[in-house]
Amino acid sequence: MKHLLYRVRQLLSLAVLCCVSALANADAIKLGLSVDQLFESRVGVLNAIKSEAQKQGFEIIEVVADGDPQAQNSQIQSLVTQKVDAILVCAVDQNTIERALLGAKRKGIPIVAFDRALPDSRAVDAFVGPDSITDGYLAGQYTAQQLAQIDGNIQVLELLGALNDQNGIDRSKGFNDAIAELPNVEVIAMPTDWDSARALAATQNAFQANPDIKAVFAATDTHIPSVETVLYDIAKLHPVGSDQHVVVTGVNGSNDGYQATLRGNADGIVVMDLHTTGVTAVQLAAALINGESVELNNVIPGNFYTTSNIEANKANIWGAQ
Amino acid sequence: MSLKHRLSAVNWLPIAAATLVACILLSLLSSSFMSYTNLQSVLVQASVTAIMAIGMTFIIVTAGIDISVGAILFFTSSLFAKLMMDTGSYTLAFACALLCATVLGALNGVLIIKYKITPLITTLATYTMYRGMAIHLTGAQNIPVPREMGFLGNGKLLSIPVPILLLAVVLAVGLYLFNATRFGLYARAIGNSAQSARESNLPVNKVTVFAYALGGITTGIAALILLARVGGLQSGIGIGIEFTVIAAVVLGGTKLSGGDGTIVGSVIGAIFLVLIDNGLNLMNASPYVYDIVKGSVLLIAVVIDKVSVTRQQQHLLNQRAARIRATG
Amino acid sequence: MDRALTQNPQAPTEKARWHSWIKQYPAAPIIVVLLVAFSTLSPYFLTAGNIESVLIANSVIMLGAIGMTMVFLTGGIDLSISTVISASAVIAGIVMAQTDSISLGIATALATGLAFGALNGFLIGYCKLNPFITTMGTQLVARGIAFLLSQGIAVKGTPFGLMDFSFAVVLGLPAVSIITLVITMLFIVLLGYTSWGREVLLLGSNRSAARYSGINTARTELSVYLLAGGLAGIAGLISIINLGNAIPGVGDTLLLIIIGGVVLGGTSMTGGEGSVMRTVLGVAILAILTSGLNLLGIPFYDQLIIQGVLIFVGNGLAQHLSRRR
Repeated sequence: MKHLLYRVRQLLSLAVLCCVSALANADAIKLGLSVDQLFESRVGVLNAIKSEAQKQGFEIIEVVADGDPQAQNSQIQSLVTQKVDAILVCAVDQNTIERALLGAKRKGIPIVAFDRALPDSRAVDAFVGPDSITDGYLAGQYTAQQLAQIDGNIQVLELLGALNDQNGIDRSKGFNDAIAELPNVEVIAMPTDWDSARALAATQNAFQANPDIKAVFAATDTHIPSVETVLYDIAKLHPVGSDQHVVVTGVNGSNDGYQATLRGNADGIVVMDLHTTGVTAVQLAAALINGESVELNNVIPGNFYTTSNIEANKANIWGAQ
Repeated sequence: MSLKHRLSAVNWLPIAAATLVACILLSLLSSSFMSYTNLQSVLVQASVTAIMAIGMTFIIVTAGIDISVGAILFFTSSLFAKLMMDTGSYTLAFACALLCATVLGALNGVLIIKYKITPLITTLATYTMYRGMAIHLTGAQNIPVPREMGFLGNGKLLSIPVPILLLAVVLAVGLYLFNATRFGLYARAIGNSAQSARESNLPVNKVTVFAYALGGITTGIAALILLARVGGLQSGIGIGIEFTVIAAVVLGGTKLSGGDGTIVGSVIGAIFLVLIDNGLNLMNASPYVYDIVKGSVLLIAVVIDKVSVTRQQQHLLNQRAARIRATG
Repeated sequence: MDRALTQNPQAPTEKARWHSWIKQYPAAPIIVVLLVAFSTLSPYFLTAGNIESVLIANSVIMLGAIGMTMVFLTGGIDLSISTVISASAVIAGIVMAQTDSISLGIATALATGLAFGALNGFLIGYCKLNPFITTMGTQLVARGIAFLLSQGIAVKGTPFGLMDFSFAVVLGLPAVSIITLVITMLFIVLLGYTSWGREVLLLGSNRSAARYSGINTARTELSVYLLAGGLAGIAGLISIINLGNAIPGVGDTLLLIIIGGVVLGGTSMTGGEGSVMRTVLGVAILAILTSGLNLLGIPFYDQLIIQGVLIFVGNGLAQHLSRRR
């Protein structure tokens, strides 16, 4: 019993300590950061957000929903309860957090959506993120140029992202819009759920069924090493410039994509500007907290780098740092 | 006992028949199916789940289950990629990865026997823990592995792809352990009745831990193959694979209630599951129908399996009745 | 413990009652500890806003967990509950978007859930198929249907009446949690105080005894999976209320949380032992834990590790308590 009392006392003193430290920071501006899931490019944005927040002297409260929209709702509500000064949110699903966001809005908390747009939301004050349709279009445009000389039916493999991810859907739309400018293209779309193992199997099977595939588009360039593996397996891995080269493009800007492009196995990648996205998100929040009006849509376009210029632009590629 | 033996000798026949039927169907539906390269690529794709299924068979035979294998795969790949990046030493990375996979698997076994908590719950808890540890280790970053490592994934020895060779080796060891050692016999005995296994002084604890350790090391081997083929660590790799592995084992003819199982069946089960994906890919099926087809096939397979087992049992009963009549 | 008994003649009954209660609800002490710890560590933990959001966020999980509890009691498992929630939500969402009729939406959500439940129940109860592998099959089919019908994206066009309902408050509580509460109590009564409930428990603890005592085991098993499916259907509808739209992936992440909640509460997977009330406590543990750890700002991956340890420790404690006399 005495032991238990001791423990309780210990716990209580810890609690007091926490409260005191919380009070000490009460004046600092608190940003609530609600994240859908942790993966490489998301962590890239988060790091940019955190460093910019530190620069401005903001405190960050970060919550991760692990892909569960209901959890994200409750996490946003808990950020509201903690009286954050602004909420930065990347939605699990663009249609599922309106309720929680409206709750925040009623309390006068500004909301900045990053990376994943919330086009139908009445609560969001600003969005900053990629222009996924254009990103996909850039890759599609390049691919179309490369294939323009070929007569007859041309098969192109498209590795889709998750079927319920707006950025994945938009990249696909952009790519297909661009490639449709060639009259004789057949796009073979394979689902991957952003999973490299599935991308690998899908690529392998697609090449078995259609050995004449002339180009591959990966919704995320982290799948390009898997594509290389398959092309190597079937002896079709020829670098850019050789006759039998299969055109490979992707969107993202990871180290995987950078290395593959550097090697010449991939033609090029559309690189998202994660750093600017993260910094802008914090700056938008700061402006909104100060009562300034901001642009609603802040699109940070990607840049397409090819084998010939990717090394020179290494500094602009988040995955290559 | 001899009856039972004969029955267990053929308990992978239904899945073999189903696989054969699937092959015939697919070769009719797609001209590219029956090519040497496609069949080879099916085997390569199946190697990861098949190797894991071999380990899982030992666990399920003891009436256990391990749903943490996906998380073990994730953690092991993370550790390997991280060590590879930080130290550049293949020896160190390989040794640590395989050792770590074995230890994580064995830890499941130790927890299960020490605290007597259902295997599903124990491994559900460790699944969450291992996954958290893996993200903690890498900070959810992707880590590329050196290209030379691709040898494990798409290299060839004697013109056979390395993953298939590794599968063959694991299969051989698995068959030996399962059928020719006391460990295999004890594992089945524990699955039949842990109580009577204990009462007859079998080393229940040691055998259980060893079975889960086997599950761990096969997962470690599978992790390295997958990592080599995918070309680098992707955050979350392997999460969710546990259900495919368990499905492969059960489709193969091993009972979840334990006591009886088949290593060969598990491998064929894994191949069967890959065939479904392969077939859908070859037919350029709509991305949305994959799950429906897979689920339906699973249901059909389990119904067929049930029918054939019932018929087999009926047949055995008839035989026995006939023998009794003859001697009587 | 024994010394205490001899020292105080008044204590035994008190103590015995306390013991049997703890044995019944092994999750209760953990909840108390967590509540005390989090409310001292975070000033926001016991605020109305936080409690409300926790209640709403866990309503879908709770309904799924009641279904899983019944299935566990028969010694089975239903892996399809999570994706049947998604399928019901999507189908009901489409029907409501087309007809703008809430009652039709409720009916389709329920019907979808019941249909999957019936399929599971028939295959497991009457065809005697293995529950694990059967429901793994229906899980994939349900997920596929949800994604096929919605093409992977949210089904919009939820009737405004249903949207308004998400803000409704009854007796100071969100309406959604009142529904969950009513259903939970209904099932506490069904399982604890009816002959059907006794049949389910007997079926799980001793199948052949159940058969010999005249229970139609196949029919009982069918009814359990059917009800579990129906609950998943309602849960799908509630997910629409909570989220504003029907989302094809809404149930995907819930399966392990549901199983974790049921088992933490002290319902055994091998059948015959457990209750809905225990599951309420088990789900509460996970809910309190995730909310509290978030408020304390513990990084996500460390939350996973803590959760894993707690599932394990909680279960060990439960077993330890129930083994002691």
